[in-house]
Amino acid sequence: MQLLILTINDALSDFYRLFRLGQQMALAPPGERIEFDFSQCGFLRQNAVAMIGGMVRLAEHRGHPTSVLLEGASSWLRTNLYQNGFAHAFGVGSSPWKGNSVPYRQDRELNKEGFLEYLREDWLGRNWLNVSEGLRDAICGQVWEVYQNAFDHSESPIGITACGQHYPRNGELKLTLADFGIGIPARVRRYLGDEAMTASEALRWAFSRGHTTRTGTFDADLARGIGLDLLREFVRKNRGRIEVYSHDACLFVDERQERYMQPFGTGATGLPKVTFLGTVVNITFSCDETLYILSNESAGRPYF
Amino acid sequence: MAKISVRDLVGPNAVTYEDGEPVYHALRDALIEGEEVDLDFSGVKVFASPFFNSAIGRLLAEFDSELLNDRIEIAALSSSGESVLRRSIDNAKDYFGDPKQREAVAKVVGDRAAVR
Repeated sequence: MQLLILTINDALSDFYRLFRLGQQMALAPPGERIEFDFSQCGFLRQNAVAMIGGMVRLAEHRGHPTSVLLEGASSWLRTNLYQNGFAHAFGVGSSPWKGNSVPYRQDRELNKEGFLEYLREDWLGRNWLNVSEGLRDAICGQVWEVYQNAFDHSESPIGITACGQHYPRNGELKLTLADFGIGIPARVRRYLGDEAMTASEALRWAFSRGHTTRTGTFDADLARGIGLDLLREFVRKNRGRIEVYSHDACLFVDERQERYMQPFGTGATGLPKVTFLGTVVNITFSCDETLYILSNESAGRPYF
Repeated sequence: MAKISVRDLVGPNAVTYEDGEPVYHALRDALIEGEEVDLDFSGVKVFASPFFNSAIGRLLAEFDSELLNDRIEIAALSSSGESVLRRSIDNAKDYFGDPKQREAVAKVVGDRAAVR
């Protein structure tokens, strides 16, 4: 099977095309080679790099031999995929180097020090983001919430993939984290025993304060379920943006809005329905510290 | 007053449930001994809610707010860490103060364990 990858940005329609690729890949007969063909691709944003990297690993996990074909791709794309380590990860390029892109990364298991160093050095530590050390640490903590959440809840057989990009023209720094597990709606429906719940209702439930589906064996009795809520509040206060896609639902949060939608059904768009059986989170932060508010919300108030 | 250095127990990044474990046990032991505690966050830079849920929020299952306010003094916590800690404590108070919520969660966990 050949999967032809065209230019992909990070708008809603671009995620739709990524999810269509994933559904197409799932139709490959057992053991068939899957070729990821970039020959007609001019440009990929960080979300596409993270997701396609995960799709290659998922194909391998399912027992398919894979090939990543970069010949014929635009010189910009080839340079980008060599530079960010994507090509090297799939055996078609030399070692990555530092440039405008944040390295492609895959963690099969939670890697605390490695991932925090990635955030601090490779993503936030490149002088693209004009922020204090305190704010950098705060952003690391917020992104950690997404990362830990993926390992707590997703049941992804390949862990997570991540990639970032700096967009100097817009003054934005982006990072995408993707897992290829069961997806938030499946996890919430199973936890609540409510199979009739729509995907967008499940997403809304998962993002409400105090709600969690974690039932691990680490401990039986912990109050949890504030990580995603904290991230949502942080990006709203600080003019950032998050987009979360899982199954056929998505959530958009920025300073003006919080919208839960199911845009990929057969209704309004008229496009064939797609479902992404995993979760992808696309995070955007501004590069200008003057836009940030680090709240000192209640100095002096008792903690407990 | 007993001093607990989070940096000494966890390092500069206090983010996981597991990071919270030694801090929770040190705090709990001191509280059971009737001691006052200086919980010092000097040198700790990155915070996330799993750490606070495990290290501090959990204390509310056993100790009431008044005692914790009297006995624990929190020092050198960054403003971003403070935001996360306060949210974690508020959430724990809701959770441990609401027996129905706890029973519902325990039932789901128990049912699942029984199935396994």
